[in-house]
Amino acid sequence: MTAADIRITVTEKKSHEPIIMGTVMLNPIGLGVVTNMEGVAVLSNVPNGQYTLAVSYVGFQTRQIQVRVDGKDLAMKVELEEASLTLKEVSVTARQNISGASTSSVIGRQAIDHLQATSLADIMQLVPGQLMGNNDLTSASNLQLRQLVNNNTSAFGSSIVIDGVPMSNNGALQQGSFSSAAFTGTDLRQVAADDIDEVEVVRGIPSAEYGDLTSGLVVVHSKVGVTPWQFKSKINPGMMNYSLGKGENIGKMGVVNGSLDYAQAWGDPRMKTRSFHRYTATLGWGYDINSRWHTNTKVRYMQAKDWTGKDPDAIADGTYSESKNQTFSLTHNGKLQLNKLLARTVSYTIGVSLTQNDSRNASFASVSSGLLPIITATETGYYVVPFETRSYLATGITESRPGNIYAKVSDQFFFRSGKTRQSFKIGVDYHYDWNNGRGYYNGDERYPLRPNSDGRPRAFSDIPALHQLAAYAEDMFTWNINKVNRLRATAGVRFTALQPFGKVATTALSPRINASFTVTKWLDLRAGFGMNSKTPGLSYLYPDKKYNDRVSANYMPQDGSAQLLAYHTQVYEVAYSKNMKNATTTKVELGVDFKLRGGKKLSLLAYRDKTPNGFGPVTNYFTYAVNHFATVPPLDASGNYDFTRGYDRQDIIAMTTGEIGNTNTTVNRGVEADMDFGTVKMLRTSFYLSGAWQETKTWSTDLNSQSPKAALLPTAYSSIGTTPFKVIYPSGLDYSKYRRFVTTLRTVTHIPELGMVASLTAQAIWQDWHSSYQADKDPIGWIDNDLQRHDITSEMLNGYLGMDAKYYAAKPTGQSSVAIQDLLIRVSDNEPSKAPVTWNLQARLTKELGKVGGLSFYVNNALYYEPYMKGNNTSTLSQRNVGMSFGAELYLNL
Amino acid sequence: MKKNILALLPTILLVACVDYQDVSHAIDAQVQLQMPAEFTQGHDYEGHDIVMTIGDKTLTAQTDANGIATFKALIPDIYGISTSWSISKAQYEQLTGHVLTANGCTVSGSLNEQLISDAQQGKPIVLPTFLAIKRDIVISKIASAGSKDQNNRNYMAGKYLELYNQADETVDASGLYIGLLDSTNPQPFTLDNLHEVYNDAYVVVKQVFQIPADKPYPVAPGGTILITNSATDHSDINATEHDLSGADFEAKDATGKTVNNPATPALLTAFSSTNANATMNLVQGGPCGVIIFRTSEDLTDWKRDYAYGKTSGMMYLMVPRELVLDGVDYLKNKATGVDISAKRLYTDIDAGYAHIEATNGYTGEVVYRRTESIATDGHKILMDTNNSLNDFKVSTTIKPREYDE
Repeated sequence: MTAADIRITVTEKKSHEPIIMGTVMLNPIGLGVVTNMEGVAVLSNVPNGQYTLAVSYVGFQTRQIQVRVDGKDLAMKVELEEASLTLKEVSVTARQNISGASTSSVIGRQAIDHLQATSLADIMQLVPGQLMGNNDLTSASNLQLRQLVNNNTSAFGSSIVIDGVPMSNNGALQQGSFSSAAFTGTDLRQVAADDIDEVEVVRGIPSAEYGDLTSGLVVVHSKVGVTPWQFKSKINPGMMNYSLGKGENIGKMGVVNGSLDYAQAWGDPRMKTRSFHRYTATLGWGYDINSRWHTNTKVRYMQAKDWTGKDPDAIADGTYSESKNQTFSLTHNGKLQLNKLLARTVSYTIGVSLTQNDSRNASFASVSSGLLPIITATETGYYVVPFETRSYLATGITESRPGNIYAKVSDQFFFRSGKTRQSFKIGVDYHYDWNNGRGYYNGDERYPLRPNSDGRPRAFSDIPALHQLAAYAEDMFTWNINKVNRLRATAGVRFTALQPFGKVATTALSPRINASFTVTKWLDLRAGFGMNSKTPGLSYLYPDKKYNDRVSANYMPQDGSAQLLAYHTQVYEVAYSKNMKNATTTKVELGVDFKLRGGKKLSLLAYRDKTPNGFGPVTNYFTYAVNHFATVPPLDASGNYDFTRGYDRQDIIAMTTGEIGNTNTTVNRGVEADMDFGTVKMLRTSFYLSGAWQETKTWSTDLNSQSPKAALLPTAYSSIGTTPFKVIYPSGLDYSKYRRFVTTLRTVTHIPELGMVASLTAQAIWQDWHSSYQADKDPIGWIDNDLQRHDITSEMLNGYLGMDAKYYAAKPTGQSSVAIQDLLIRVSDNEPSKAPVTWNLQARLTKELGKVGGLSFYVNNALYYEPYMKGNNTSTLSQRNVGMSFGAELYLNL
Repeated sequence: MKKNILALLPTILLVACVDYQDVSHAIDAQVQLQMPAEFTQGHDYEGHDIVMTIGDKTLTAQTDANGIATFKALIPDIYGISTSWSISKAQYEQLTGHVLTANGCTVSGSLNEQLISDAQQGKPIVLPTFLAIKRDIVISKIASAGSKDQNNRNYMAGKYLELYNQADETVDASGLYIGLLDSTNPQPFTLDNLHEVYNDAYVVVKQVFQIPADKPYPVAPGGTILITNSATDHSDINATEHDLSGADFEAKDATGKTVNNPATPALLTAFSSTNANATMNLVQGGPCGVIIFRTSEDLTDWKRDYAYGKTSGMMYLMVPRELVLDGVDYLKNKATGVDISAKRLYTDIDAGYAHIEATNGYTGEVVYRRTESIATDGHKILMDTNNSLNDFKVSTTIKPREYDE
């Protein structure tokens, strides 16, 4: 016999009651089963060999058991103990994943409790290289891993997977022209922390199972199973959060689990100008259809509301902004134990999410320069426009209704051959994203909120839906060469097709490998290479129309005779982003893991993530003419203004089309270190040191062109904002670079007799460096108003460009000109900015109150160190570590 | 007195004895210049022409080192005596110990119907002189603070500049350039930077406008030139805004965001450091310095430069310092007080600075020149001591073309 069955009975240690829906995982082949109503799980047909059996259940301490299979069926009894601070083992920091798999940090329930996290955003501070800070729910927070500057591609390309279903952000849409500063990505505040059982944050190369991301993957497992009634309350001066949860065994109908969560935050308690409310309700149902078919279904409802307005003590003038987000989602996971050679386990996931995202902004449209044209045209042409000369209160509303359907089928099987073991995962997934919102509109279209180019209504429902189909295959390979040397690798490939057969179809092939080699008992070497790709979402694929409005006649006699304000509106409709590709991140990692005596561990990892094709604007010009009238245009036969003749001036306007493409390049590199110094028994204290030196470099590969400086042009051009030509410079030479070196030292003192854990975290930012480098550049060409491109060779640098957009070797007479020498870009101040060293200290304490519950307390910036400091090239003092925050959490097991 | 009488005696005797036909015999006359009272630090006696006129005849003599001019062989009669000469700014400062803002001064004196007879023989006639500052057009009001409208939103269309004719005669303002000093923070060139790089030769401006030169634009003594971006009635916005529909010139907007009055002549745009900015960018909180200058050169040939030490970014126009006729340094008031290190004008153009009280503007505050005196023809002479701290004051109620009594 080369294989055997393992039958595991899982019970609770104290009551000996069976544990239902406990997870039994056989590593390293990754075979997972779930216990039935009797607490029994069977792993069938396990090949001979040495394994680690991991048995876990929500609220219980996970047990790892070494198992040797040698052809005989095994029956095992495993007792699980309720997780408690009175146990010997606690885990209040992030654990690093085993080598051979993705570089990730696993954060368990105890760590989340000790952190007193209210949302997923707070949990991220346990990840190496991330900064600690005060909890603030009043501003949106996205995920930027290994990334030192907010980057729309990287934020958009971070994936949050909850119970197997990615939270889709592909249906998010914007009104107005592309903004790289707009918030993209998934708002981490939406995910309440109290319903989370475990979070895995993958910084490195993820499994081929996960796609549609560039960097940064967060896999969230929510609570499933029988749990006691638990009430939690967290209070600090800027926030409060209450939750109630319970998991119940309903006999043959399975197990249900529900939670309610409410959070309210107002940032600064003294200035109630901002607030955030969040209501979350979840209901989960675990059900075994038969002994081989286990299902898990969860429905969630989340409502979040952001509000910004006047201080209640100030005079109310009707201005506010409010954003309301309601999401209903359903996840359904099923697992079938087929026990066939090529189909050991077949899992499937179905996810549906419907979001209602409404934002309302009421503010005054100001008329500071005395005249505000109300331009609402959406087609190219000349328009007589109404105008305002006084400010007015206006409301702009955005109704976004993104929806997403997700389906995934995965098959898992494994082989054993000689000293190797291989576990395969193959699967397909499908995403369908749409947005049928009304989009952007004004409360009163006659009084628009932004009566200019970027304030036109846009219906999101007109935008096509997005299909994405992906297939993947992965082999988890273990080769025990001898008793010491071992090779472990996870190799996979993923293929993604976006809008297959459509106009914007694009595909990506993403190979990934993580490997580790055990050289000696105490040394592992690891390396990884992987490509991730993020398909452009709706907002990148279907940019809004571009509007450009220019005055044609502004005739406002003050003697009571008829006034005329006429504008020319030019509309450029990109319709869809042609040639848009996926943003692809190539990740390379190299690392060493040392296992030292006394449980000490040290991991060092160097990484380089390059995204050469992040999303950004594409510069493509087109030109058009606008006729300008000093008074009023002549009338045509039917008595309407004829804007085509009799003009006093004709302006040629060069405008960009507003296209979006893959023009942003980002390279992140760095070294991450994680050191576990083990426990000093006498002090009952464990020491952990993690640190990261990170660098982010980002630049644009878009066409680098600009108008000559206004100061060099005759006022006939500069005062009306036109240019006789655009000057082209070499692209990709300027960049922004950021560097940061952070170390975080955590001491965890655990006294099981008292059921108490205290931790102190000291974080130092040794380096905080930024350079906006601009290279010296000679112009390499110019584009004239007929869109003809001309080259400037090095011999032409002493010549002139006339207002006729022609080159002259000598200064032309009879027309103005710009000396090409004046167009040279010479940069004198590339001095990087450096901030002085700062540090921050955080203290946390959790005390269990027997069976009743527990109490936690934290202080961030415990020494109230908020120095005023200045960098090397500024004389302005700025305050670091602003404010101190503290809070308490009480939880009761009812 | 006795001696005098004794001395006169032979003359009386002689007169008594001589025949009356001898009255017309020629005599020598001397004129002694008396320096203006302001010349406390020195005098300027030598080399000035003294003119004596009788009928259509003119006699001229030059003063010696003692300020005495001698006219030989004069027929005794009633003459008019006068003199006039110019002194430079430097000479003025040397002789008076004071700084002069105007380009120079005139020293003049005259005696009408002076009898010249034997009686004056050997006795110089004293000719008192007076100083007259060469007054011209000055910058007299900067209303750049803007205000808030009924909804407490910024309103900036009612900003204006005012120029004032100090001269006793009508001045033609056509072709006059109005330069707006840079308002960037930090400033592109400190005075030390300008000294280091350009040896104090330039004033840095961001925009230049010009009064059209196609026809004369006469400004009467005490007359004003009101310049705005929007020559319309702004008075219903709030109490600090005014009816500017009678403005003399309007910087015409090219973007369709300002109401222009077709009846108001256009101010020409001569230079702009930024794109699509045809209107005057008068910064509400300051800095908002203004200079006026004249030149016959083409501004497109003038030097442009990046900020000190930079080779990229915004380019400014460098205006030769000696062309500046008047300048007002208008600095931003900060919570910590006016930052004098941000001064942009040399002390000989403006030794001080003007500022509003508010730190960010929108208060309707106007800086304007105090009234110094009333000229003989009745027009106001505004304070012009070359120091805006001294010359200017702030008001929210002063109206366009209005000055203190």
